Amino acid sequence: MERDLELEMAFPNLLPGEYNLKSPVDPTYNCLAFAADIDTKRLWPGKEYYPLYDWPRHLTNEDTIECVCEYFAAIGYKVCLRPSWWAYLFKILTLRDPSIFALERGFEKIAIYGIAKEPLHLSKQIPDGRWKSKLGYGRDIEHNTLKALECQDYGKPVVIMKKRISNANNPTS
Amino acid sequence: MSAVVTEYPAFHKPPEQYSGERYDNFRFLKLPIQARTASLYELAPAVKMLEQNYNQDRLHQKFLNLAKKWKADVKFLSSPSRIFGNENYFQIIRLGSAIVPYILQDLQKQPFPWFHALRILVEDENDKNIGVQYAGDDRKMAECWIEWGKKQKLIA
Repeated sequence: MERDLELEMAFPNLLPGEYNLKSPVDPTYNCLAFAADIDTKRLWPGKEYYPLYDWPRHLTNEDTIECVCEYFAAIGYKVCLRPSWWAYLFKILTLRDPSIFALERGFEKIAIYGIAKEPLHLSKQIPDGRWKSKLGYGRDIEHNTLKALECQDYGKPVVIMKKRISNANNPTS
Repeated sequence: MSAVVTEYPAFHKPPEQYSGERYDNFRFLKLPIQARTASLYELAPAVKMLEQNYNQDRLHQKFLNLAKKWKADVKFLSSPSRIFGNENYFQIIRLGSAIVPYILQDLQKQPFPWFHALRILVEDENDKNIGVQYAGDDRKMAECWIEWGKKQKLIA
């Protein structure tokens, strides 16, 4: 399995064997665009950085997690809420993980990392329940957990959003 | 008035075996003092050019060092507030508009988000909007800036 030592140095929780390198270095797109399945441009909210980053004109343009949520809400995602006590009861009965990070059949999820209100990174869940990320100007990787990318530069996953996917696109359902 | 020196002072006199035109490294001492001063004035533009080249080389080296540090720091970052809030990026901008050609040279190698610095460093207001039509597309924006640099004769 191919390893990237520089990557492992930058992300202490990213352990060897728990990630796969998926692409060469490509500065064309960033993590937000990658999570939205766009690989031709860089997306990020914030007026002060226009035109370095593109952002839809009709959405609020501020460098906040709310604005990122607004963007993904506009393309069909909804914010996942923390599971309640009955979800844990459901887990006991069905042996299914009720965590908002878990794979849900018929849904695709994105995770927004950040510190306070500042968005810092995005990951997208792939059909096997793992996550894929574009790391800044670096490479695309697939990682087993969201915790793998938790660090000072990215913060922690603070919002999880999910979107229902049609059966044709969803091999797991 | 200074006298014309036709002979070396005794302490400068070379030994016998090194005498003659070929070994005469102190020929200028034989010139009248006015002629010696004039030759220094003639050298002044060359000295100034050397000094400018030296300063440019130092600036270029400083830019390269800071750019290397900045790229290493922001390699895995996505948030522009973190990328452009980096201390090394501020220091690069602080070097002034003399580094614009170096930034353009770097853009020729690989598109990297130098556009924020370029917009701050260029003096003409119209130039600040170069590549706006390609918002978010680093490659096309880089092409626009390189084309501008060539027109301005900042890069080859």
